[in-house]
Amino acid sequence: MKKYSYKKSNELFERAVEVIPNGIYGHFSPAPLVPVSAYPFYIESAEGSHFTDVDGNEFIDYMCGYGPMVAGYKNKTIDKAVFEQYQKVDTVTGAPEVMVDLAEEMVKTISIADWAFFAKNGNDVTSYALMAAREHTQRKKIIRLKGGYHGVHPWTQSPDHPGIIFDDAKNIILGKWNDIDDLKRIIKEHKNEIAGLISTPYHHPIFFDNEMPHEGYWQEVEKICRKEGIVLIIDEVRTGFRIDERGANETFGFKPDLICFSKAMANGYPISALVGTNEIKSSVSKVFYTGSFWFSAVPMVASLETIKYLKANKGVEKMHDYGKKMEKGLVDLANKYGYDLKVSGHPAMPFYRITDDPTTKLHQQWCAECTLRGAYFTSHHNWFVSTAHSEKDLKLTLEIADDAFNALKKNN
Amino acid sequence: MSVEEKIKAGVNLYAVIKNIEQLVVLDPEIKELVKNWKISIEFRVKNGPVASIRFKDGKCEVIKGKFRKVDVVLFFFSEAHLNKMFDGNANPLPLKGFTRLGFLDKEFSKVTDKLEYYLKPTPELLKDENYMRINTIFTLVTAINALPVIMEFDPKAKLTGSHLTDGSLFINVENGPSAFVKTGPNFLEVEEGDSEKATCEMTLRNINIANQFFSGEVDIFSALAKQDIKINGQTYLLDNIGLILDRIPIYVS
Ligand SMILES: Cc1ncc(COP(=O)(O)O)c(C=O)c1O
Repeated sequence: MKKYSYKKSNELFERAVEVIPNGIYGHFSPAPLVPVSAYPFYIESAEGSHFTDVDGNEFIDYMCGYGPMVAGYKNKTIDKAVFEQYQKVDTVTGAPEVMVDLAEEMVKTISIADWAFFAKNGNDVTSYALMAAREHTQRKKIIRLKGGYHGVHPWTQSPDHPGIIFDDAKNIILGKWNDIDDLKRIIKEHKNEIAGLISTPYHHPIFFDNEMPHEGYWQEVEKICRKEGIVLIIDEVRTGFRIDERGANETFGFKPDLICFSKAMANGYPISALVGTNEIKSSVSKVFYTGSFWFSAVPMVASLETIKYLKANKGVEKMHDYGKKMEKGLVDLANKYGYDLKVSGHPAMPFYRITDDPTTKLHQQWCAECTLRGAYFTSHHNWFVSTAHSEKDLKLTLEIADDAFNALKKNN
Repeated sequence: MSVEEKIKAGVNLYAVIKNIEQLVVLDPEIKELVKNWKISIEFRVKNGPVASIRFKDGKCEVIKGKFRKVDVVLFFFSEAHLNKMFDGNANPLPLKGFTRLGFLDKEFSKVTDKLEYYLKPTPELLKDENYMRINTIFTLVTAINALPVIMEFDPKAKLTGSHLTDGSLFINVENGPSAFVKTGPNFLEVEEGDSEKATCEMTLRNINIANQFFSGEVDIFSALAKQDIKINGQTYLLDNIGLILDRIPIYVS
């Protein structure tokens, strides 16, 4: 199989570092890609489940923009409505009509939602949820769980990181995933001080195997939060509309007070949402929170159409099935070459790891070999599938993976 | 005693003078000078760190703590006192080895002067390839050996230390020096080791890149993307060690 090279990506990067801090910063920084030489940095175009980099290499995209793409790049149904809205108005002196339609659609779709509030990024609404919880309870402390990601605002980061001070974490308590005893201990130590608990619906840290909730875990957490008057906030920025369009809590059988959405809710157009119950609505209303671009109409249209599209096309089911088939195919291939490929998390956003080498060097090599052949796999982060991933993609992915395992065997 | 003084003292004793082990190998003048030395010197801070240095058979060994037998003991009332001595602004109190004081003053000071020369580069000096190589090696040795000190006393690094997991990092400069660091929760130690043994590896493209990296002049994210620095394995370990490395320039100029 032909292997890709990235001359133009690298040339662009040389230019970028001169004028942009880090060249490419944040989660798109090439730094965690190992080896960096196996990955493209700059993208030229995308369609369906594929993207093409600036060197003309085409990839089946298993990161989906790290989550936002869910119904295929340039999805015709969604983009038709989007382009129509573009012709009319985007950001203007006032709110667009579609904002009401979108809020109604979310209330109709998401089981706990009595209302919806819109912003741009996931972190806009995770932070808003914290403020709302504090206002609602008149308490100051927040529990977040170790290894969980909720964005980049100071409260979400560890104070040993640059730019963060210990005071930023003063009212943040780190708990442990799937550990009820730990939660009870924290609550006992901070009786009547805890405003909210924020967590993803299942544990999807980077670098490590993802973990589903233990039987009864969420039911117990919900019970404790109710008893102690703690606002239960679920961060579905990554899982939203991939696991369950009613909210992943329906899959796991519990009811939070607030849910944060972004990424997949508009198939790549920039928007996020906080939804919640009527009990907390007046507290939310009191907190002044806004942004220059939060009323832009185009992403709202995109979101409305994306949600409708996913429901009409059984999106969640489709992604689950594709993820399951891919899992079987890849695990069988690994076995053929004598490797143990472990899959954790949800099939629509699985985390893969070759367990034969705990240092992850083998896994890094395999992901790199796949990427160099056109299946874009990262080794440190869960992958994403979309409704646009097809049987043809699956077949090609397995061929690529086969060749990559072969190369792995030869090189080790 | 302030955190700054504690860290500076630890770095001086456990990281800076560690370089003398290499100095007697790499610098012909110093190699010649120490050829026949047979002496051990202990640096002791009241209620504080202790380090010892021994010259024997043309070799030098620097350790944390004490040798069983020691010829000279230099005592310091505080970390600040020790740091002042390293800055050339104070004298130690000799507790043992009064007859060797002349040696310390005239001979040993040649070694420390040369060490300072290599650790304090100027753009002019760095143009010399050999100087640059030695400066890079010393900067690497200093940085690596400073890590445990920073982790013990700097509040941010202490927190990072609590996030460390069991593993090891091999740092390798192509055609240059290498170092091996073993880690665990709240644990970090410089050891002998190689790439085979390491759970995480970092390779610097050349001595130039290494020099810039260890003097804190390289933006690591860009360097990784440009493949001036390559990493593999448990790279989250390097994220944490990087956070501690970042704290060094705050205390060490
Ligand atoms: C679970 C989770 N929460 C919050 C965020 C932050 O979202 P954003 O980067 O849009 O601010 C992310 C982003 O990756 C996420 O995965």
